[in-house]
Amino acid sequence: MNESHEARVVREKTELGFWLYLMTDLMLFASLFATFFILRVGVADGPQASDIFSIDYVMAQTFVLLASSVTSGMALVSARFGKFRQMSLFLIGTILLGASFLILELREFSLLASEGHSWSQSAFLSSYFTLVGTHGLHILVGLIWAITLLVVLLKRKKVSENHYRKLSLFTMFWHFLDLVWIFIFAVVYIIGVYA
Amino acid sequence: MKQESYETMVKRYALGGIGSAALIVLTYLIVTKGWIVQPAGIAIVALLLGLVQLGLQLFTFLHIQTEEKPRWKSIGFMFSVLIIFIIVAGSIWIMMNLNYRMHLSPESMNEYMIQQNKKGF
Repeated sequence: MNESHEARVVREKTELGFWLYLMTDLMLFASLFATFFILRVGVADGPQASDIFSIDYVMAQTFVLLASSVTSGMALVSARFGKFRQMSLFLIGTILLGASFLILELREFSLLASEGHSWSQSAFLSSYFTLVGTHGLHILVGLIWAITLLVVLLKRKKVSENHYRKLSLFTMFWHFLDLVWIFIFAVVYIIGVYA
Repeated sequence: MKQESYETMVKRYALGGIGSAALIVLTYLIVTKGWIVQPAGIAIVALLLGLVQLGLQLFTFLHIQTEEKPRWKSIGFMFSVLIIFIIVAGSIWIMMNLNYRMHLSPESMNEYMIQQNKKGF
C-alpha cells in the first residue's frame, strides 16, 4: 500500500485524536482500579479473592489476549506492506483469539453467578465485576469493530489508505485493552489473591 | 519518521510479544513457587513487572517513542499518568488515613460500614 503524504498526515492527526480518547478511557479504568483496590477487603459474608480465582485460568486468558494483540499488530504490518491475504489471516486470528478471551471470561462470570457470587453480594465483588466487566465490554466492542473491518476489507479485496488508517486505529484500541488487562492481571489476580 | 523495513517491524512485534510473555510467566512463578511471600513484596514486584511490560508494549506495539517532535502522544500519556497517579494514590491515602483516624483496620472498617448500612439512611 502506497501511502501518500496527505494520507499520512491525516492518519497521524487522527491517531493523535484517538490516542487522546484512549487516555480518557485510561482515566476511567484508573478510577475503577482505585475503587477495587480500596474495596477488596469488603467481602461481607461472601468469598475472598483466593476462594474464587484460579491463576491458571487467568494465565490462559492473559496469553490469549496477548497473542491477539500481537496478531493485530501483525495485521497492520501486513497491510502496510501490501500483503492482503496475510493481513486478513492475522485479523481473523485476532478476532478468534479475542472471542476466545471473552468466552473464557463469560464462563468464569456465569460460574460465579451460579454459585451465588454476583456483584450484589459484597463490595469486593461489586468492584471486581465493574472493573473486569468494563474491560470485557470494551473487548466486545472491539470485536464488533474488528469484524466490521474484516468484512469491509474482504469485500474490497485491497487495503486503501483510508482502510489502513482505520485498521491502525483499531490496533491502537486493541493494544490498549491488552495493556489494561496486564494491570487487571497484576492488581486483581496477583495482588488481590496473594498480597 | 524513518521508514522501517518489514523485517524490523516483525521483529519489533515478536520482541514485544515474547518479552511480555516472559514477564507474565515470571510474575506467575514468583507467586506460585513462593519466591517472594511477603504481601508488600508481591505487590511491589507485580506492579513493577506490570510497569516494565507496559513500557515494553508501549514501545514495541504502540510505537510511542517513534513519533517526530513535538511528541504529543508522549506528552498526553505523561499527563494522563500524572493525573491518574494523583487520583489513585490520593484515594488510597485518604482511605488509609480515614481508617487510621477511626482506629479501624480495613476489615473492621468494612464491618462498621455494613452495620451502618443496616441502619438504613
